[in-house]
Amino acid sequence: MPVIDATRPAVSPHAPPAAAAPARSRLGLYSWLALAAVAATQAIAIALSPADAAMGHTQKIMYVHVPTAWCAFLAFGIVFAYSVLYLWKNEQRHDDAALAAAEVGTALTALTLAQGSIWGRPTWGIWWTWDPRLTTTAILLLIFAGYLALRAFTEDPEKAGRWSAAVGIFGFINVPIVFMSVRWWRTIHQVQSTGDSVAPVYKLGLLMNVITFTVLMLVLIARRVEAARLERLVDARREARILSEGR
Amino acid sequence: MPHGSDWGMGWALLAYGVSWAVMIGYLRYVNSRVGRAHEALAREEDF
Repeated sequence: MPVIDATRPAVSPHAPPAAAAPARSRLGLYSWLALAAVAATQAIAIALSPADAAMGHTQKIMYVHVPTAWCAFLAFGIVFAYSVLYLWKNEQRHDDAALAAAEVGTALTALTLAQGSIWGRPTWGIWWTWDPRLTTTAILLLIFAGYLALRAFTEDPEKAGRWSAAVGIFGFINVPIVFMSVRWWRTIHQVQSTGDSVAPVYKLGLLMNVITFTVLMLVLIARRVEAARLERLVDARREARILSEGR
Repeated sequence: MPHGSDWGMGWALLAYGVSWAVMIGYLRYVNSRVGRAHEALAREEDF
């Protein structure tokens, strides 16, 4: 909190030139609209899909589990791309995007594991097993939780950016391993739910939900980038004001 | 353990409930960070 000194003018004569605060973006509105679109496509898919012959209505978890996992992979792909760009060009906006995507991707990976566990209990009879798909996904979560911890505990922003970019690039290597784990190793997890492997009656519902969930994820990343930029601007203006008041 | 359609919708609702809690929670967290930053910028302008 700023200390108010009644002996000084409200506006310091040495204050930096006033710059208008950035206008509020529409991303907040878009984020709620994207969430509403996810709700709509989930409702349509749930209402229209019949119970699966083997799994019954637990099959409906697919409409949220598969899009969540897909978006987590995509988010880590974005981390990889922006981490490479940051190390190459050293531009702050690339680091902002990588951090935002890492945060969203980590939340989605944790959610994927929770959904899978809830689906696994009635289907496999267990909440968790050290299966290749589950284990590689848990490792992915730990890598990117480490990424976020590194950001939180490294004070120098440039070091934090560079070190976490390296973690982001190497962490992404695990994504194709997680994706292919159901084909490379003996596992109780079914093969990836894609247009080729899903019964035609479930295909449209899955596709709709993958699209709306992807839009939601991209809007969330954009909103998180916006938060990072605004917070940096706040810090810069606060620092400039304190310096000007101290002269 | 009931399998398939008996309790299937209950398990599905649990999965959707957890998912919506995370989605709404994260969305509100990010939006609140943006909101707080705008408020802080407005305060800085007042100085």
